[in-house]
Amino acid sequence: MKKRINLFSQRIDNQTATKFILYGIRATYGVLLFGVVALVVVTMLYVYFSRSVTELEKTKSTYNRYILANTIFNKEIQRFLQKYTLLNGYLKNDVKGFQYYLNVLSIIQPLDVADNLESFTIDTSRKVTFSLAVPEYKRGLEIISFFEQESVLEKFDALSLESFNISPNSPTYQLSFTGVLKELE
Amino acid sequence: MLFISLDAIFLVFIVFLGYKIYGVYNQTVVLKQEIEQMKNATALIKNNKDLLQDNIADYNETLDKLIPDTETYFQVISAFEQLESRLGVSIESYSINLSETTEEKMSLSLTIKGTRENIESFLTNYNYYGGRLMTSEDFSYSAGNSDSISFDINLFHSLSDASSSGPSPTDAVISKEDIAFIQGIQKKL
Repeated sequence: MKKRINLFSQRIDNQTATKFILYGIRATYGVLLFGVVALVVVTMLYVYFSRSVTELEKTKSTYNRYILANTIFNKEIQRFLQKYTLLNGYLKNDVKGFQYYLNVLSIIQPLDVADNLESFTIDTSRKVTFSLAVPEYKRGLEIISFFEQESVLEKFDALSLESFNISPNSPTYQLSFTGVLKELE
Repeated sequence: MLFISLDAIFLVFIVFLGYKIYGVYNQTVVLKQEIEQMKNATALIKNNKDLLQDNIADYNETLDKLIPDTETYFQVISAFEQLESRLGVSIESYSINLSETTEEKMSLSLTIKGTRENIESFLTNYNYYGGRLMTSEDFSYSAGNSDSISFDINLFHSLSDASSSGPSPTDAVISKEDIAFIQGIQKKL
């Protein structure tokens, strides 16, 4: 019996191996190419950031020299701003009640009822309540008409007559108002 | 084999440079933040030096009187005594409003006695005549009813912290009006 050797039996495997080697070589070239490009980019970035740091350090040094030359003033101005800001903030929450009381007195001056201003309250949002007491019904009506005038109303952001009562024990008519005063300048 | 070695060297080198870049980038971020703070401080100095440099210590002393660093019982008593002697009123009693009192604010209810003129002078001048800042958040008044009134006031204290590198607005410019305002207060203390 003759024995035959099939010379092509390993060919497919060899071709596959060659293919893989070729892929490997290409991949190696590819990585090498990518590496070169990436190296260039990364080096440029490194140089850019390094220069940036040098520039920033120069700038920092310039500012630092100026601040050091003004160390005492710098501390003083920081301290000043801290407390001055607080002062203004606290004063904003001050009701300035007596100034607003005088303001209401000046508003009602034409009525000549300053002595009849029985009570006055105000808070920091300028929400005000006040009451006037007069002995005659007619005077009460005059007060109502007075507060309906445009020139009077423009001194308030809001104003309404809350009540108009007669005192049971004495012939006194009490008018209570509530509203919001305009901010004083 | 040579290319594979080169690849490996390249990759290691790129990773190394990437790490270095990350470090340098972080450094630039930190430097930019520091420079921004310094820029603000510099602008603050430049904007205000001309107007303030001669008297800023005086102004700070005034502000420290108005809003002291700490609060003591004796400071409060001293402020009330000063109010009484300067405005002619008598502070009959006082009590602490615990619900309104905070870490930096002491709220007190006062009963004040005096003539109508003196009480009205007190109501006009209470802000500074006690030698420190006093404010009130609500006001109730009925003239002529009595020779005494109840009045709520607030006293403040806050620790100066000049070493703080907290945000100082670049555009914080103290104006001549601000200086006039402080000088006006100085006359009332």
